[in-house]
Amino acid sequence: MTEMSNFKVKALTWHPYLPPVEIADATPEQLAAMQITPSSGKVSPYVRTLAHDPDSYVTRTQLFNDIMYVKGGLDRAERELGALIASCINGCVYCASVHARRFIELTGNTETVERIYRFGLHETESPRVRAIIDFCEALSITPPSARPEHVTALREQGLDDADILDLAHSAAIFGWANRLMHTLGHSR
Amino acid sequence: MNADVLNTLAGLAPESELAAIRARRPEFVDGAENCRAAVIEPKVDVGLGLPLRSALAARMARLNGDERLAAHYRAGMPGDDAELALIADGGFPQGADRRLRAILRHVDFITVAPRACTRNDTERLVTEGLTVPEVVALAELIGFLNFEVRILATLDLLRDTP
Repeated sequence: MTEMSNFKVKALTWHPYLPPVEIADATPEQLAAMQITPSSGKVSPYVRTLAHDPDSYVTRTQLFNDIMYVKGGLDRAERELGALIASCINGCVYCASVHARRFIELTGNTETVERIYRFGLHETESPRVRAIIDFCEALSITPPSARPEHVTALREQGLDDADILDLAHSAAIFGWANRLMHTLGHSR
Repeated sequence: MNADVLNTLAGLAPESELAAIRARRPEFVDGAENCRAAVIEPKVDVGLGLPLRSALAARMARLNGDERLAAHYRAGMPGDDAELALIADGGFPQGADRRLRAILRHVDFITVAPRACTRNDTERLVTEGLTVPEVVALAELIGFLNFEVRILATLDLLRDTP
């Protein structure tokens, strides 16, 4: 890991590089798409940018909300950790900041995030967090390089295969979200 | 429920434990299939056609080392188009115009090294002839493929790790 000093926990604002859809000019499909927002948030510049391609926006946001918030299976906080690790690998400072905060809100654990931001992904951690970080890192690089040892380490820490699949979905959906957020705009 | 292309590509037997685990999250299975439809054959086509989208998907699967997924997308391309076949295989067709070359460069770049992308890289797509909706649709296609590759890789790992 490099350049982690760019990463933040504080709330950032995302600014698109290209002009978003203006509500007054929107097609019926775009207006319908903008009714659906990630975690039921407001119609942000991010939503209006993605409304240029309404079909993918609607279907991906639905899948995103299911992956991050569906009941049962892997703990919510550990899905947030998967999102954070993917965002660190993909260089998406905005997503990393949002999901670092969610992880801290859910766990009260500030130390894990501080350690990642100060020292990168390879510092000492609890064995369970270590196994999650290592798997999500290996899965997020291109080509993905997660190996049987990663799965074995997760199982040893008590994750069953359904939990591991939930974790993979959270890291993988951020491989997608990061490739939108980080390439279509910047945050400060 | 839709067909589960990822289960099929991962070769999961319907009665296997992993297929049962996957079936417990129909939101994820159907969601991934709906997203595939939205990025490969969207109802509102913003300017990138189905044949090119399929070829780009195959190209990105191949860049991720997944020939099986690449073959899946190649099957959705017109079989007799040499230029598309070259694109799917990772090449740059000699006759490609600036717009197509910019698309191919961006697909390769954002698949492999998204963190290196800067404002110039994205704005260049517009100066090379893409519309803003095309830039967004391309970003979604790239994002989806990179998502799908990772779910398939995880299914392989869970299937093969005793």
